Amino acid sequence: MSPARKSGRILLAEDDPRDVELTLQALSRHDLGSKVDVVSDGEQALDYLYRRGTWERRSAGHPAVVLLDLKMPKVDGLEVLRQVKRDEALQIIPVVVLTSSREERDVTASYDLGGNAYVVKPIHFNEFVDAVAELGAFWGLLNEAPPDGYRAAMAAPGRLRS
Amino acid sequence: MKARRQSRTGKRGRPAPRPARLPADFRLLIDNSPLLIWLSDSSNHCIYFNQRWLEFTGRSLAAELGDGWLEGVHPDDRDAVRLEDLRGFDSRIEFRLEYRLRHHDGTWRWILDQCTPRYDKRGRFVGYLGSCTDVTELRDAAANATRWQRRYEGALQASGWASYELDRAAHRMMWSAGIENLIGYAPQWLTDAAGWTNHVHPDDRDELRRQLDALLPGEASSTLRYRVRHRDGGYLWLEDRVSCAVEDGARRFVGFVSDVTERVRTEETLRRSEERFRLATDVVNGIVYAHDLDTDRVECSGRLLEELGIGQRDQVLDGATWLRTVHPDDRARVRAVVARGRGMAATLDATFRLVTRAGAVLHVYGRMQVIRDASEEPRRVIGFLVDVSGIRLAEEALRMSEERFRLAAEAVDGIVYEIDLRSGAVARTGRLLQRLGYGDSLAGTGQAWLELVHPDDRELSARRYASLLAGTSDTAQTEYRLRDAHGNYHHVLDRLLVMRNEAGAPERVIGCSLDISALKEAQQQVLDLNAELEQRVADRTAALRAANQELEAFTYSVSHDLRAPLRHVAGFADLLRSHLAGADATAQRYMETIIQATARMAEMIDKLLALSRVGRGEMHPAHVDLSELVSEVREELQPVVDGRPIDWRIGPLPTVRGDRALLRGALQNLLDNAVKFSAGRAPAVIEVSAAGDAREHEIVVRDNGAGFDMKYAGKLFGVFQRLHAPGEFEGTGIGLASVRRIISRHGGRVWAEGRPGAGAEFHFTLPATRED
Repeated sequence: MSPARKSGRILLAEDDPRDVELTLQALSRHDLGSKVDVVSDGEQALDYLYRRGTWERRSAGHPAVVLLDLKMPKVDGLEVLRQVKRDEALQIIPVVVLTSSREERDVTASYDLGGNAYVVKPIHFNEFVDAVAELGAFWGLLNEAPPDGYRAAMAAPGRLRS
Repeated sequence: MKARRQSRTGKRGRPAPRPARLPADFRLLIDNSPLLIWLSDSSNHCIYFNQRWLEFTGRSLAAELGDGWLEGVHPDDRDAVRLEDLRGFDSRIEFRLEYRLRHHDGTWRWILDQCTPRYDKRGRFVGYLGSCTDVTELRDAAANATRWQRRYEGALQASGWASYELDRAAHRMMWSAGIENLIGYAPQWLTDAAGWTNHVHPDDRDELRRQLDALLPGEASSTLRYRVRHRDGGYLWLEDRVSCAVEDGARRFVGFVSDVTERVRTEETLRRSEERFRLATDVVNGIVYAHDLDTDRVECSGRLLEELGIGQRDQVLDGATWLRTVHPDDRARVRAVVARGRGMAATLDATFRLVTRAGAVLHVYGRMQVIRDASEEPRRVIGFLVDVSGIRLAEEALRMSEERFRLAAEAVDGIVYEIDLRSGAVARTGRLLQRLGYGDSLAGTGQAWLELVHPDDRELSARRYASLLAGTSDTAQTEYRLRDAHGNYHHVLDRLLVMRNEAGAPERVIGCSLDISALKEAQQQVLDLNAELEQRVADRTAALRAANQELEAFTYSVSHDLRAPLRHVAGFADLLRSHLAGADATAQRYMETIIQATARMAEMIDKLLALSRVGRGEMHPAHVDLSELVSEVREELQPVVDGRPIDWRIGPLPTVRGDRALLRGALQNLLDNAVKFSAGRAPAVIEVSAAGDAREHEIVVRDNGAGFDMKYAGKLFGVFQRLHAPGEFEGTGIGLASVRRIISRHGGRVWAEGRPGAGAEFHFTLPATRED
């Protein structure tokens, strides 16, 4: 398969509008706000990725990164992650699991399914901004997929933060 | 010696001896002598016989030379001549021979032959000279005397006696012929005193010698007894009446001995019998008595006399004294028995009481017999008494024991039974029989009993019984259901004891059956209760599991759902703050407080979740080096320490078995506390040490910080319990609760000691493992 084209977009899958707003605020502080597409459940996230349903006509190319909440209606985040990482066409897309949970089983499941990073949403807004900005900076602003070593390095700070 | 014998007895093939050549005057001298004279050379050949000898025997010199002369000696004397010859020639001393030599008229004449050694001028032995006298007439006179002596000896011998003469100085002894009858040796073998002593039993020799030494001449004879060995090897007892006389200045003893072996044996037997008799009266603790009715003397013996206090064990009493020892209440009866006994021949017996001088009462059994004279007049009463107090006590004890046995059978509410295996007879008794409706006692065979056993239990019961009889064990126990007369079944516990004979074959079975129906019922109840309890435990466990799952779900949702709104408050408060940049200070302070409060709440939620994870998470036990763990934690605490001077005193710490992450958490909390609460000290001293034994390790974390009041020690480990105001020390009040949970999950204990201002000590224990 040819290297996936990149849309330069960031997909944020998050059902809670307040989190969406806070995340967008945080990303906009780093001028990434305009690059974000937001979906509010797992089904839409998959529709977005497969360019089907309401997202049928979106511009082609994979998002630079998917920020994926775990607890979502319809299809939850872990299911989305599972399908993405199982699909050869999609598995290249970096997925950062964004969650309120520090539960070990979630963290383990996320990494087992091939999640690239796991970030517990910090309570403190500033920390949250920093965390989101960091994620956006790594995957949103760069126009190519990070090398393997880089990805591994990114996985580590995510884990540490939990 | 041999040469002599050969020379005298002659030997075939020897050249004929030749007569000696004698000096003429010597020859003349001996040829004219009235005595019969012979000469021998140094090698003991007879080399000459004088004229008188040749005239006497009527033989030629040539015939007599060498051993030829022996042909004229009486055949019965030849051996004696030879024997005596040997001794004489060998020792080269003077000696005498007496033998019969044939006269030329054919009669035997007794010859006394005086033999004298001859020496030459230089003193060399050259042979013997014998000068012989015809003593036949003399001997005839002596023979007369000897005849008398023979008669005397014959009489002595016939009476079984023998006599002897002993010359101790010369070591000579002369026995009469009777000795041969006694000990099997002829007198001629007993001529030597030392030889005789050898025949005496070694144990008796010293005594014999001592007694002979003590015997003085002229005193009346002494009677000695000693053992002498018979020729056949056995010993016999000799009685020796010996007296002593002085003859020619030497003491000579004359003794008459007789065989008293039989008497000694009889005496010994009698002595033993008496001793047995005495021992027997001792053993039975009795008295043997003989009451002479004429003299009214009671000769009695027996140790019981001592016990009665009426004297020694051998005693002579009068009848009245004797009767006084009888218990006053029994005297009339005893008198009546004795009176009755005088009128009849049979033995009589009675049991009555004796009173000791000390007042104790003895039960005795007496048996007596009246001895009558020829005219049937009673003369004596012979009898014995035996102390039977012990036997009476035993009888009483047996009676009591049987009574107890009967009462016990009543008391246990069971059935006691006995089966005689030889006759098959069964005897049963016990109150349970009545309750079962089978009357006072139920006899019958074992088979009849088995019919009453519940069919399901019958086989096992019968098998147990059979294996008890066949086996080596003496006891068995079975449980079965037994049908009563109304057809209801009772649970019965049967214990059996088998009695065996010496060969091990079973003879009797003693058993006891107990009604354990109530017990069985109770047992069943317990079983039911247990089952119910187990069900309840299972239910509770399931409920608990459900509650746990619920709790897990709850903490999960807390983690998610509670945090989310909090995050939103915090997030939007922050956003709001940026909009309040121009607002007044009070509004901004309010804003700050909101943000801080949310942060604090978030922290508490995190800690609470951490605590719940400590309780729920799976343990991963491994060997954990506590020293290593402490240095890791110290490293991590550097930011908290923030350059403060802290005197760390870390002692040697053990390696324990536990979950590394959890233990790390516990140490983290404790050291963090220690650092935190010793903030005001310069320097702060934090000590970590270990002690313990084979069972457990005890770890102590000590600081010299703020300490605490022991009355709040119990609250320290509770959730959200804080002993210090938030302004004093930061903290959520969850750390020590986590520590407690971690340590208790490891099977340890945790406690704290402290005083306000004097520091705190936190102790925890961990079980020691064998690998440690």
